[in-house]
Amino acid sequence: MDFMGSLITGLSVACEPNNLFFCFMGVFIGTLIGVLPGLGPVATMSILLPVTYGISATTAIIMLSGIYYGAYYGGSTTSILVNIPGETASVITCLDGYQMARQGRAGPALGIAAFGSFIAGTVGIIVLQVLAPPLVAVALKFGAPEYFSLMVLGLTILIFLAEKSVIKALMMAGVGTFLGTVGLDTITGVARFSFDIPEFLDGLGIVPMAMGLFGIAEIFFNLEKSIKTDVTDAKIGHLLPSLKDWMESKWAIARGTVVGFFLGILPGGGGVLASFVSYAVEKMVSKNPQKFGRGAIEGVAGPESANNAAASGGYIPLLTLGIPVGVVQAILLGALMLHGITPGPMLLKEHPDLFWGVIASMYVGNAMLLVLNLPLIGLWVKVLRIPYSILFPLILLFCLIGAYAVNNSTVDVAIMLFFGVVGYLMRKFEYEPAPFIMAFVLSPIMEQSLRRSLIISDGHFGIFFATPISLGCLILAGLLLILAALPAFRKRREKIVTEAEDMG
Amino acid sequence: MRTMKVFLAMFTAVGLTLVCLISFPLPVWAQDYPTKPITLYCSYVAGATTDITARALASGVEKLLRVPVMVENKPGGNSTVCASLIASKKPDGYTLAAMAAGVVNQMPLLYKIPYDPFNSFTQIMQYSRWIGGVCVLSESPIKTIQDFITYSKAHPGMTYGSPGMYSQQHLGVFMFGECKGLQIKHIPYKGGAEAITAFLGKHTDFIAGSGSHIPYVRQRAFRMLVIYNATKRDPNFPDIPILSEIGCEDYPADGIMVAGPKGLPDPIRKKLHDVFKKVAEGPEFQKVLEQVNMPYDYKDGTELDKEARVKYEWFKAFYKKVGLLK
Amino acid sequence: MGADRVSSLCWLAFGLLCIYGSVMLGLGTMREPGTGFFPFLAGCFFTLLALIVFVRSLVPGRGFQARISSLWEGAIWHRPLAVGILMAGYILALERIGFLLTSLVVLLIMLKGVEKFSWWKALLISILSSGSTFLLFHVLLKATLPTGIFGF
Repeated sequence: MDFMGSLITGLSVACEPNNLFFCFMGVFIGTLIGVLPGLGPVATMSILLPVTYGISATTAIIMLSGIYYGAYYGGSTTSILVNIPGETASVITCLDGYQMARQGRAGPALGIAAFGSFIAGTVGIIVLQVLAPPLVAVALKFGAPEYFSLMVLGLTILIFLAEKSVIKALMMAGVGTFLGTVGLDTITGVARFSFDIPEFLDGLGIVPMAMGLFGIAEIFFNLEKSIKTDVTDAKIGHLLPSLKDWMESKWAIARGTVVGFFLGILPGGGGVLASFVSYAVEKMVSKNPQKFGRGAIEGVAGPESANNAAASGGYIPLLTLGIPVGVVQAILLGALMLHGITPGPMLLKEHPDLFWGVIASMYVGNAMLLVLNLPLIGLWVKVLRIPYSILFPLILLFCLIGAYAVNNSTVDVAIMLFFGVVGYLMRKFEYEPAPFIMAFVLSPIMEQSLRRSLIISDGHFGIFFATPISLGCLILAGLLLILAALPAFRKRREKIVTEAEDMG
Repeated sequence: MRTMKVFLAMFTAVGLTLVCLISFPLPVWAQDYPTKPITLYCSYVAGATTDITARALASGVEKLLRVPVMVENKPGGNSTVCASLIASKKPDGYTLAAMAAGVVNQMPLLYKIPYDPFNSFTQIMQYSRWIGGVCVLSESPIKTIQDFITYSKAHPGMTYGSPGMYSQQHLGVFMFGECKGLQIKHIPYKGGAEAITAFLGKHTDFIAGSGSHIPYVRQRAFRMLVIYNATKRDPNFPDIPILSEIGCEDYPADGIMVAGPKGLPDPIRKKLHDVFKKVAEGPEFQKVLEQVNMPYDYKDGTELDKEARVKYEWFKAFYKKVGLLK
Repeated sequence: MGADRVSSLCWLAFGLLCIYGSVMLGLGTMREPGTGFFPFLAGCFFTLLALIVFVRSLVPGRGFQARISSLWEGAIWHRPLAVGILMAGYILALERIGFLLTSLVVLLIMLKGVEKFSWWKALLISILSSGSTFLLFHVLLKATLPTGIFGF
């Protein structure tokens, strides 16, 4: 079917009143969930699964999808306002988004996040419609060696994330890599460093960890100051991004969309990876990288676009092959099966209205989200006006419940508190949390791919150079390392570091 | 002075906490059971096959017992996280779990678990079990399991993906390989979906399917050659032989069971058993089982209890034989 | 002692523990890496870097040389400490006495003890916050919150 034909078919399904209603419900709940720290789309979608029994499969998927990408819209809100990532994919938005808020630019930050998400989400869906089969073929080519090389590339990009001391950033990456191994080892089935705590068998929870490292640490930090000094002391400026903001962000949004989409297709990739890579890319190509971490709008526009593009991208393997790239897609799969539909290569042929209807509903949903989120910006900015002494206990309460609600477990809340303390100390002693978290996320994928590759190749390391994708990633990583070491680049970094120290 | 106040506040908090740490047990009467909502923990993530069956059971049981039955997911550690959670709950019939039966007889041998396998659960009933089959891509020249054996002997080192190390699918194929003297390499993944993705991308030569492969078989993307973890042929695939038919010892399938904490009063257990069985045998649930490609395999909880020790010893001997345990 | 010196020593100690733990898990061979292989590499990596940071800290002028005490200069440090301990108490009490009560009590203590609100104000805010979040999460979103021995 041609593009317009399928779009029209899809829209006719998506605009049925039933579907419109559930789409709205979904994106509304999704935004709410995204704003609330901790509670994520996974928990909510699973709670709402029974609701889908009484409705058709198409409607069910439309609603559940709405929750999913809606959450990515809302997730940036708390990251920007109070440095608490509402979603793991919004962690990186904390870095510059929160700084922007402290400079009185919360409105533009929220605005560009919403717009970026909309543009990226919509473009992502268009690409999904047009290029699904060839993209899936590329995604499938990623086997264990390719994943490993990709992870190496990802970790190399980390060097560019470092604000101050590269050595300390690398050290944090090392610690993050190590902690990523906590849990059940997939390859041997042995439990590592779990100290007999069953909740650790699946690894330390990333959501509570991120909430602790960024959000709780920030609260502790703020508590030290006397009540008189307001945390957000700058006056609130414009509510929407200015023309200047748009000019600065447009390429970030474009790059973020591309990066996010590709990383979203890869099983195991997803929003977190997409947002980190987008941030690093923006910093790498920027003319003045020292403004990153200090309120650079590209640092918000890029990652937020990336994670929404990744959400769209993740639908490709699901709809074309029935493969879930992450837990969210697995839930969507489950919902489909509950309705008697088995996703797979035949889905398009057997259920075209489901296929195109869901895709079209995503256009509708993204539009709804933009309309929903923009007016809310004014509301959120007002929230910042509440005196911190009342605000922080509330934030704390939300974090505590949110962390609990991830898995209905107090262990997660304890993890959050622990990393809150760690994050606070890290800030005091000048260690950066971003490389730590990124390495933590990448570590399991990297290790499993490494060992699987070695099993396949019987221990020969040549397998990593055997395929074009794998070789390409490694060469790229190598080039980046050389670039980082080059004298010209070194000077640039030193300039960044000294300027950073000057700015304090 | 201010510091004093702060510390006073903290001590009050600690004191309150200590007071509340003394919990009062609430009495339970079977004829009035149930009077409040029941929580059914599921040991797999939402959307997983087991989760779907648990939710279907929950909605059926809800109608019969006339109280809400809520499904909560507590995934991780191959059901052991859920298992240790349920082991710690009060046996009042309001907290149950749908999880792998292997938490009693298999997992304790493989991992260090915080619960006592034989004294932690009241097994109510088993309702299904996991299945699997060796599959090759349909474009492959291999048409039957005999073809496969010949091909494998001519091409040693074929790789296969499975949903996890020591999963019953892995072990089924492993025993097949041992039995026929094949040199095959096992690549463990995390779950059936990951294994299928790698297989679709041709990164493994064949796959130890774990149930999620069935749609692909039906849609002719995969060709199933032999079924393992089974004692009889699959009625949906009557032409496919099972492992024991081709002369190999098979690895027994793990079942999915509904269980409660140890010490569930008998009348409550009986009531739960009858209700769950009724729902499980009903047409709606059977349809769900069909949709997720799982067989209906019923076993009474008391039977499971009796078998537990025996099976445990069997697994112990088996794992020693294949070198998993020393 | 300088900040970097202390922190790098702590990381060094942690790193050695990690290395030890990894070795205990078994390193395997290069051809067949064992369970502890990867954690071992990661542990060695950051321990080495911690060592470098430590050595650098011995050189005057390099790295983060601020004295430990100066890090907390002018900071009201007992506030984060109190909040931290309260949070720990919250975690311990949560499943025993249920969400609603725990939140109420902890919020109250925080508002009264840490932030010095009047009893009236503190009670009001605590009840409103606990109540509304309870409504939001438990009733609207149907996220299961712990109910504790009092049944709510």
